[in-house]
Amino acid sequence: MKRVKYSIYILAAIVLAGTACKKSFLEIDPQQNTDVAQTVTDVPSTRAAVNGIYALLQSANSYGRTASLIPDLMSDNLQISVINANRYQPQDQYAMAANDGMATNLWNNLYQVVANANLVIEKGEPLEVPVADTAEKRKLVGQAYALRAFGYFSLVRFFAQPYNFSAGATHLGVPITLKTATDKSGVVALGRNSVKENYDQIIKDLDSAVSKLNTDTAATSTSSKTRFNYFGGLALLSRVYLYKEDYAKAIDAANKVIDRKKYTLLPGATLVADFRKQSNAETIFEVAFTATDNNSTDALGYFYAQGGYGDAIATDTMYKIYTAADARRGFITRSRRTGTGGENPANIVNKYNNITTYEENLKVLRLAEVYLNRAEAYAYSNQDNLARADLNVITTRGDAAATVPGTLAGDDLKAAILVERRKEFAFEGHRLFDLTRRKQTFTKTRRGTITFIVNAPENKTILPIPQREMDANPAIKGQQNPGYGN
Amino acid sequence: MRKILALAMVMLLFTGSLLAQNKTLSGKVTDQAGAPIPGASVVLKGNNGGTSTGSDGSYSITVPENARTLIVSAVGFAQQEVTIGKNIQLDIQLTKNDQGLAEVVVVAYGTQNKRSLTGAATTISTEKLARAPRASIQESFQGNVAGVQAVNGSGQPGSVPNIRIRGVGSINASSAPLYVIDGVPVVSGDITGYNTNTIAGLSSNDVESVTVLKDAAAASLYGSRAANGVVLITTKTGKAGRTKFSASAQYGINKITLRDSDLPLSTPEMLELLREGWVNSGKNLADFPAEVKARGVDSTVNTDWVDALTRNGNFQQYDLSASGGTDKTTFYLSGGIYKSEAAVIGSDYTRTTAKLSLTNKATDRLSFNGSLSLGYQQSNTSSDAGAFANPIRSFYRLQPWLRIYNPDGSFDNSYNNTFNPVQLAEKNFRKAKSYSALGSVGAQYKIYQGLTFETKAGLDMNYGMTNLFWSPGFGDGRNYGGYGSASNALYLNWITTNLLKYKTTFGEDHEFDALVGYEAQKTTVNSSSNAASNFLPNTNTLANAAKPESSSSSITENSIASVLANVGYNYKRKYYLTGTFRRDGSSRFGFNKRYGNFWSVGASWDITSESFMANLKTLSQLKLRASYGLNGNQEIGNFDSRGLYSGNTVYDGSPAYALTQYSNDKLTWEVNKPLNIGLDFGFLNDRITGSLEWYERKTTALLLTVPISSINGLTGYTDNVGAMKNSGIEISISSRNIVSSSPDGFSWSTDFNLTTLKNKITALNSPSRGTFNREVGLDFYQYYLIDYAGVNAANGEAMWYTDSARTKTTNVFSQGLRANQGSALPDFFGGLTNTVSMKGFTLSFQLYYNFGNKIYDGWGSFLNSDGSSGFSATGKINRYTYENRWKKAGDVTDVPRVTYLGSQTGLSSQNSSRFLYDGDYVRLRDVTLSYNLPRSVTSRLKLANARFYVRANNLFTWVKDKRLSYDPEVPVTGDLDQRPPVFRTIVGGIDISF
Repeated sequence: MKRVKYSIYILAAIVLAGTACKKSFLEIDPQQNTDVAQTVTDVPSTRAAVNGIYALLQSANSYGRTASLIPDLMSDNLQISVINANRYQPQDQYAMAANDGMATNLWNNLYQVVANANLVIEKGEPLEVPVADTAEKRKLVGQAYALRAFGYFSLVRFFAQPYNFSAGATHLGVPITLKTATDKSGVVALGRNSVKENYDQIIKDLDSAVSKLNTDTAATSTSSKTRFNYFGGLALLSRVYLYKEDYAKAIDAANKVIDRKKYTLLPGATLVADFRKQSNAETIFEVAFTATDNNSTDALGYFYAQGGYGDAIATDTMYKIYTAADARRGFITRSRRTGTGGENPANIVNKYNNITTYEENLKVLRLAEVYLNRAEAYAYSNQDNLARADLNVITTRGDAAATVPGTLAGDDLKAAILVERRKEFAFEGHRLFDLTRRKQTFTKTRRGTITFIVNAPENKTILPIPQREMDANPAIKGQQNPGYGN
Repeated sequence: MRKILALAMVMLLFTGSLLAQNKTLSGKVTDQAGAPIPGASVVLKGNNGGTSTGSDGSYSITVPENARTLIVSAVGFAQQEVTIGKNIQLDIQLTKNDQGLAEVVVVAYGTQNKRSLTGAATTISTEKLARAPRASIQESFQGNVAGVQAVNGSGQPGSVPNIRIRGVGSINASSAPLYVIDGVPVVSGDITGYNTNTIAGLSSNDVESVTVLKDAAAASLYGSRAANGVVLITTKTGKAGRTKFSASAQYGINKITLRDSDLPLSTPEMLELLREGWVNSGKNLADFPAEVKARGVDSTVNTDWVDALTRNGNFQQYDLSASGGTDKTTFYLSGGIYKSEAAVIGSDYTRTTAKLSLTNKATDRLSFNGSLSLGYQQSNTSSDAGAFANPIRSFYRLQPWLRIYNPDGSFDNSYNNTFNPVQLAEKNFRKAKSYSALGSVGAQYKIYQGLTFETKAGLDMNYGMTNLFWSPGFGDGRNYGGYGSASNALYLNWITTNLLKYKTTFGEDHEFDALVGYEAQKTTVNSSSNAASNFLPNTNTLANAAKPESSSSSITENSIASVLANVGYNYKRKYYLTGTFRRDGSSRFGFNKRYGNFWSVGASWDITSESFMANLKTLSQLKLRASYGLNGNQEIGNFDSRGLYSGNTVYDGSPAYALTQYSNDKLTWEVNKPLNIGLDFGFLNDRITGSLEWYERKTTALLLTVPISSINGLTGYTDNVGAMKNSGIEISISSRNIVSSSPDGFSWSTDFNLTTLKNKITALNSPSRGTFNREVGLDFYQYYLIDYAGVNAANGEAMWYTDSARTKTTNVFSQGLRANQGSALPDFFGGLTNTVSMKGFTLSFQLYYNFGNKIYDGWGSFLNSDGSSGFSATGKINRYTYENRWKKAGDVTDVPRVTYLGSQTGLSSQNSSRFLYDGDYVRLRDVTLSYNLPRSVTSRLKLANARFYVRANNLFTWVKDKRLSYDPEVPVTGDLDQRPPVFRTIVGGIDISF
């Protein structure tokens, strides 16, 4: 009997052991993620949050591939090969629907960039940090402004008609939000702002960025280019003003970059090899990809390289636009498309082609663009001499013999600058916007070398507001881009 | 935890017992025909110990002098209580009763007489589970349990079947039931991602019974995890008596189920289509041969990809078990091997299991039990869905003119981005290993008359390892000098349960029982994964790689703490009342909603025991049941209520994070309120038995991702919004059509069940429209696709409707209108099993039927490209197009004309209702022919039983929709995703026990 009693004690002990763990038993914190409250509270957490915005740009849905690829694919520069893995077919054929996956992903990604920049700006501006950290904090917040501007500028380019589409740019741009919540109570639904409002916001943000990054003028042609600095803000500003056709300000911004001589053009002789180098002397801002942090088979280079997908090939007109002596022709190789039944010869793009280590930063802003931005701004503000000089810097870098004739003026000069932009920025995500903002009708070559005419303006040169957005955002109802249903 | 185990060990040392004066009873247990029943259990009432009968049905049991009643039971017979008289010789005759109300069923936290159930619980007997040539026990639910939708969708052995009990209970949280093995709620699912279902780690031969708890009264005691129903799995334990051995062996073959209409086109057939498309696109026929040549097509090659990528797989299963014991200690010990080589190349699966179960009666009051199940699963699997390396995708999509081998014998890598599927299967691998251990120790102590204390500690551990390797030079590895990854995940799930049970009788007519308990459970997942590239030749472990690619590890946990209570009362065993209550606290929910209460009430009325029924001879039983209650579903992510930045990213070598989740501190469980009314009946002395159930379960506070504008930086947040209703009727009938009077005579029985299913979304904050249209009034899986209007007979162009009235059409896809197209959920489904036996032979066959659902092929636009893919290596067109395409003006068909590189149809984005199919099918799921050696032979061989059989699965399938190129069995979500179809399996086997 004693034993039985003893057993009861033991059983009671078990019950107690089982119930010992109380309330804290249910309080478990995440170890994989960070609670929002612990972000942007000091410089290291702000730095990580700003890095996070850049990391968003790395996505293949954004500046890791799509944002660079489709402006060339939807223009006269690229086509999809007959051998392909079905990516970007709707863009190649101008057959996008409102639920287009690439458009949806791009839209979502760019708004993630905007929202994360909002969070850094909102929490970072009033953040008190030790004196030793103030300079870095200012720089980080400045970068967030530049990234938000870059996000909005990308959105308005892809999803709205160019600035000059309507008088006063009153046509539909993209919704602007400058505050991002982290709790469900702060969710917003907003309709589209006008393109003018978009540009005003972009310029305001870039001004803030430039003023905060103005301590960052120590940048040199050899320093890392993977983050926005003072010059990055200005270079982007020169492009934004050019698109806005505010030529004086475009020239002003370009001057501030060129005059400080922090960047140098790569020599023509070694252009092809040097262009591919990480943070080369000419680049002002590029999206970083390292051996351990890259898009792998979703990398842009993988989409061009014949050892990868190799699905995008240059059109014949693209190849033929270069003189034989033009260094930039080296970015295209005439050879066989890999795979049975491929085009032969095909114009293989090798501007981006590292598919072994994928250490290939994607160029966003570089000095040559600033020259051509300024050349164009000069040409449209009747300063042909200055325009010719800037143009000449770029043409002769590509082909020493291609000096711009002194007689080139007026519309011919403007046309020559547009052609030069095509040559210089081929496969870097500029062409479609240069065509549309200059209201150019062009011939698009699609898979199977079938051609069709794209008029100016044309509904489908801009992407649809994603169906998902139309469904989830009541305020945007009725604001779909024409040609994509309602 | 450790403390508890240690204490339990100490307790095992107490083996003292009290001895009174004893006597020994002996006798023979027989059936009505007088044939001995071997293995029948003979126990003393109110006592755990007992014995079982030998092969001749005889038993011998030592009982105290004052013992009153013996309880005798055997599988397939009604349990019988026998009064012990003066005689020490006691022969007992049992009556056959395999479906009746007298069964004891395993229920939440205990067992119960089926007669006293007020809720809906269905038991699947061991005969339907054991010896099935299927890796996972859940696969055997199909067609056997009313109210349970069990579908596989993939023929890969070890894959996780979809189980839905009474419809789809949730949208974003899980809709899968809770699995409880011997009282331990376990981690279920595929922890490696390579087809190693954790539940498959348990051999179905070690399972004594499975009970499916479907309604509030049955399941609510599991509180916040009961909403999707509960599957209680009880494993075998030993029975007192002579040690009994059983052995079984099976061997068989697997073949892929493909109908003639599923077979891919040959080279001449494909070229015929493209030639026609060439002309249709306005080109000159004479130029076609030049194009064929330019596209590098060798028309003399005609590769049979189906033949190359599938095979006659094989299947083997061996099991051995021993069980027995004394009236103090019993044991069950088993081991099993299951081996399946899939019908698709590159896939195989092996499982080894072992189980030990012990019980010990230390004293009259104190008893212990312990059990340990070990499982080891190993699988080699190929990629699925859209992956280039998916062999199923390859045989549907690769052109017949492509070669497997170059003329020199090397693999041809000139197409499909160097993904040669045969080479991939041979040279690359995706391997998984999964180890599982489920152990528990428990003790019962009888404190006072009717008052019992039970305690139990359980540990459910699963360890998964995966290894992947891509050889250099082709396929996924073509840009690496070899690429490998290795990952590990440890799932540690422990639980302690303490229960106090009380049972009493007031006067003659009032029976009362109650249970209170406390339970705590914690699940921790530790995982890590590494990848590297540039391997030394002929190596594949990461130590041999030169370049690291990625490395990560993670830890995540969740916990539940609960109190629970259960009461039952009956009056004269005529009127039954039950009530349950549970309070759960969960770490997963928001700070402000951490605890919840769950309850149920149930009642039943045994009408046959009323005196006014006494004269109704044809009606042998009639029982009415009703229950209602509230339970929950907490199966969402561990940290879904928190605002989070996710740090799985890097930028330029520095750590980075970004917003990934909005916070919601009021997030809590989904509330499920099931109402159930059931009727159990039996006719003609229970020759025909069955039950009829009607249920309606209303789910509210559904955890949903509320879609929000992307301008918020995310596309949604999780909230308790929305409500859904599932309702249906379940009918199950068992009939012994012909009963033979002698064991060798002819007998025939039929089991039938039918389940209807209706789902309706009753509240949502905003509709969500993708492939499915989720809005109020529609069902959860309502397809929402561009409305295909067929083909314009005049010119062969595809048309899509532009208005909801379906009057206007367009030939421009992007102008087509999206419309509701029907549901992926079936209207009704069920099974029909017939068993006939004579002279030791038994033939049984089971039909499974499924009607009224739609299935959708997201890859349809690739297989039905109408020539738009041209000569593309993966542009093969399906047979349905070949046989039904529009050819000339006036042709009325639903397949547009073939146009070479045409742009009108066939783009990857052009998903429409054209690729939506009727999912109705009837399948001959199981046929078994077995032969039991006659007793005269077995006894001469000193065997208790010997049985030989052949069994075939999925022999024949009738499919309604002739357009469908795939097998119609799809996951609950209704999507065809280039998965391996279920296999046709034929096995032969032998079972012996002695």
